[in-house]
Amino acid sequence: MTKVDLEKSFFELYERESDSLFRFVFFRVNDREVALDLVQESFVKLWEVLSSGRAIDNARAFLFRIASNKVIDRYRKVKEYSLDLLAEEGFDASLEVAVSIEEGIDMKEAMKALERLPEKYREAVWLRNVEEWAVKDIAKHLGESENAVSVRIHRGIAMWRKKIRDGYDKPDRE
Amino acid sequence: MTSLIGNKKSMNEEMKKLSEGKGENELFARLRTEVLTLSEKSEMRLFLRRKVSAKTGFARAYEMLAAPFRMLSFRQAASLSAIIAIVLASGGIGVAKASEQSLPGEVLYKVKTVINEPILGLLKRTPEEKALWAKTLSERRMEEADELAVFGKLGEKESREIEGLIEKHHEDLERYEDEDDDDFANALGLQSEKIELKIETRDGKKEYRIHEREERENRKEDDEREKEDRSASEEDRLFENEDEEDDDLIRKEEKKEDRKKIDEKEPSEKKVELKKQGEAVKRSEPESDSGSKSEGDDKDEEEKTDSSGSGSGKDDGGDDDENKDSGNDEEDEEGSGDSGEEGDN
Repeated sequence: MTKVDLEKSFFELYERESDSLFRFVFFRVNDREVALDLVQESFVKLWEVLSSGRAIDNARAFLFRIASNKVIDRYRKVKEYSLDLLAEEGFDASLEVAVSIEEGIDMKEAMKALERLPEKYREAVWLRNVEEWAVKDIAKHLGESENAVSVRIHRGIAMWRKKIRDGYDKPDRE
Repeated sequence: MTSLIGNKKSMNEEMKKLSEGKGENELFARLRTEVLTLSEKSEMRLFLRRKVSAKTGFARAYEMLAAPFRMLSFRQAASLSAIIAIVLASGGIGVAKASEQSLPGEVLYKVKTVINEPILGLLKRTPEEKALWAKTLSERRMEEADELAVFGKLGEKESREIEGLIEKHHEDLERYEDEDDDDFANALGLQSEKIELKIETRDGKKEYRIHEREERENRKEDDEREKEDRSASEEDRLFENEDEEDDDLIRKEEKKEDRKKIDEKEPSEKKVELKKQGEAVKRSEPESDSGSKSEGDDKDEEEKTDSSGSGSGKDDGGDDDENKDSGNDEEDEEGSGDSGEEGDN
């Protein structure tokens, strides 16, 4: 693949996946600006890898993995920062809990649970349910049979539900 | 923060439903609504384009340059290199041409003064031509100062740069003049003159003045010239000898010191010259008798101080001295007010 072809396919991927990746990141960081930054950084990173001549089987999956790592890094940074800050300011946890109980779906928790799925399940669930791809297309994209993909989607959803329960019942692992 | 309090938080109804397999579609639908705005998307695309083309642009240039060399034999590659060198050189000529219009403080100005002009200078063969070239260059510097001043860009840095260059041109000029015969130098009318660029701040505005300064030795040698100066500097005398009798002695002492300083080094400013011209008037008579040595001048001055202090003309040239003294006394009062300002300048 020449540089020009590479460039072309990179921007095709950008047009196709930027919204999807943005969603993927946004619901985890809950901050539009931060999400934009992370998405952009992820694409830059992908381009660096692509242009270095490394072969990538599944650019989309690779892109989402990059983004996922960036989100985790981000969490880590924010956590350190807020812990330091809290220690300095004298944080009263009870107040914060009262505020943070909200009605409706807790997107952050839901996304955190989704993030804990093994990648092959998460990818299938996300593409089918959020991006609404046809199972056939997912199968082609992942290089699996349609059957295998269907199974992954169902298992992935079941695992996800369990993870959500775990997120509340069990001590937080993060 | 969520992780901090996550354990304590109780699952709300919606999340409970979600964990039980209900309400998933709502979640997914909500996820789907979140998209990049058009401007966010195009902004990011632009950023990525720049990022990408920066790299591929370089890689392309490298490939384009390297590819022909790989395919060619050594001799072919060598001739191709020569062609490339010619192209690059012609690019250099373009830069050199563009620099001709540059002014101090601009990027290409250095190209003009450090590369262009010296190279053109190399084309001048005879000392005559070289001297003329140096003169042309110093005139160019003046024009540049002129242009900068018009645009109000003649800062301290620029003027220092120009002054430095002019000094260099004059050194060249003098060097080539020495090589050349005197007649030519006289024809240029430059041997006895030095051109000095002076930048002064007045009323917050940068002004520039170009004045011609005579060489001190020249003036001393040329008595006739001195006499002309005397008439021209009658006014200047006002500012020199305006002091009252009480201060006379102190003043004279100071003047003596000043004069010594002046004698030690070349006058570099006009005001110093004014002073000197004023002195020249006083000095003229004794000078004509005692010769033109500077030491002689000093002695004469000392004598003069004595004479004016005592009020009696005991000097060699009695007539002139009397005239001068009386003149001074008359003008003292008028000029005293201005003396301070003149000194400040």
